[in-house]
Amino acid sequence: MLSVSRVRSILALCVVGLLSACATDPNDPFNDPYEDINREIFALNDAMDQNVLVPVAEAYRDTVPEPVRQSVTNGLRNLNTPLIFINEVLQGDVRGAEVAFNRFWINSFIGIGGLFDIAGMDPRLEYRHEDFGQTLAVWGVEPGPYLVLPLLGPSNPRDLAGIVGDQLMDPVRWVIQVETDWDAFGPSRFAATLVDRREAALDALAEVRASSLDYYAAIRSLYRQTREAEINDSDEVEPVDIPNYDVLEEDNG
Amino acid sequence: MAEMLGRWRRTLTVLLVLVGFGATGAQAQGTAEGAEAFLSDIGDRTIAVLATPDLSPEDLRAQLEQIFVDTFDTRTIGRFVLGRYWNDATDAQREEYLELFQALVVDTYARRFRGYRGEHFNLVGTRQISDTDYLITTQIFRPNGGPAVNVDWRIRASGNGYAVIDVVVERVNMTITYRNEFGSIIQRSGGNIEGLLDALRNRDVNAG
Repeated sequence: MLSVSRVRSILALCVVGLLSACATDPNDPFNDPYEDINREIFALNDAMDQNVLVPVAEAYRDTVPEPVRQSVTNGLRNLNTPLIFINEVLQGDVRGAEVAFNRFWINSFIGIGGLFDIAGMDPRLEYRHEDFGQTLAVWGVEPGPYLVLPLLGPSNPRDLAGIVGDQLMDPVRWVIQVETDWDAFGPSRFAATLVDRREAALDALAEVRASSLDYYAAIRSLYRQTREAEINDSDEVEPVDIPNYDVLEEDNG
Repeated sequence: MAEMLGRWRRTLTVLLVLVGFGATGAQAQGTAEGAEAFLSDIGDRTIAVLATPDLSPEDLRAQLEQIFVDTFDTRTIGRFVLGRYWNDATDAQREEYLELFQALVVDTYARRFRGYRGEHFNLVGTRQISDTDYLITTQIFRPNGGPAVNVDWRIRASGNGYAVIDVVVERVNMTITYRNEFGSIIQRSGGNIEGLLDALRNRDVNAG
């Protein structure tokens, strides 16, 4: 089990990670200097995930019909869209900001409070996730070492700072929670997002969990690749450098 | 003087163009259409297997394995996945590794396809990314609706025809994921490839 002092030292590590220049160790290709602690937290998170979150997400899938679940996804995304707009502006992505702006007004009014993704029927106005972690990346901030956060899962100092930044900037949170004193709004929205996202990932994560030899290493790789794709905003896949071994060997031999 | 320079420049341009064409002409293999036809054929073969009524899980696996062996360049994929550790491995270790790796990938795909409920894929576009490689973008649609899954197939042309060397699902690279995972396992076994071979030998074949 994880003792209190352990948790404290982990939190201290996170802060140190945040403050340090986030230098990358060339001898550590996975950029994971805190791997031992990360693995411990990962195991705890996984136990929570399998015993609590997965059953809840499965029950949600089994009891709530697909169109309703789709509307939940749409509604949560719509609540997030003003924050996406701000991040697109901060990233200097005029086109992305325009998309977020149009999505919000179209879906809020014609899509009945965001329950229907009317804007997304136009391929140019499809949903795209942005957050302050991505904004920091666009600004040139390095990710820093890989971190597994208790409950929140895979992250790094940059993305952790991103979570804090998003909380502070989110206009929806300010308008609904702070202005109206509706304290339950934030936690309810968080819980709904958690179940909504987990339901969407049920099959894919079960697959990775079953087929990977090292679940921790697989998730670490998936997290990094997914974040890089989100940051780059490109629809095109960046091909990796897979050498032509046969030709190389003929040349050498 | 100026005229002479101009002529030189033209000659140089012509030369460069010729050299450029010569270089690609010598190495370029295959065509985008050829790669697409190759991928469509894999799709047709796979769907034909999946649509076979009353196929036992063992037969399904065997048939998918045949398609995989015929169409994927396991050697290139496996070697890239192993990265620098390939050079340290003995011939016997390499052969065993390739065999175990292929079994892992086939099991993974066989399990994925066990839940097949009439998904189909559409070709979105093809991009030539090197003299020999093509990246074909497809979208996989589920019969019950929901968002399409973006899958990119990297297909390499060679003297032996075409072969798949990478699959990218929703921007996640199959080869990179295996490479990171296997690299981590070897690193945690003190840099010894036997650590990975053990993990591959002892994996739970029926997991999931």
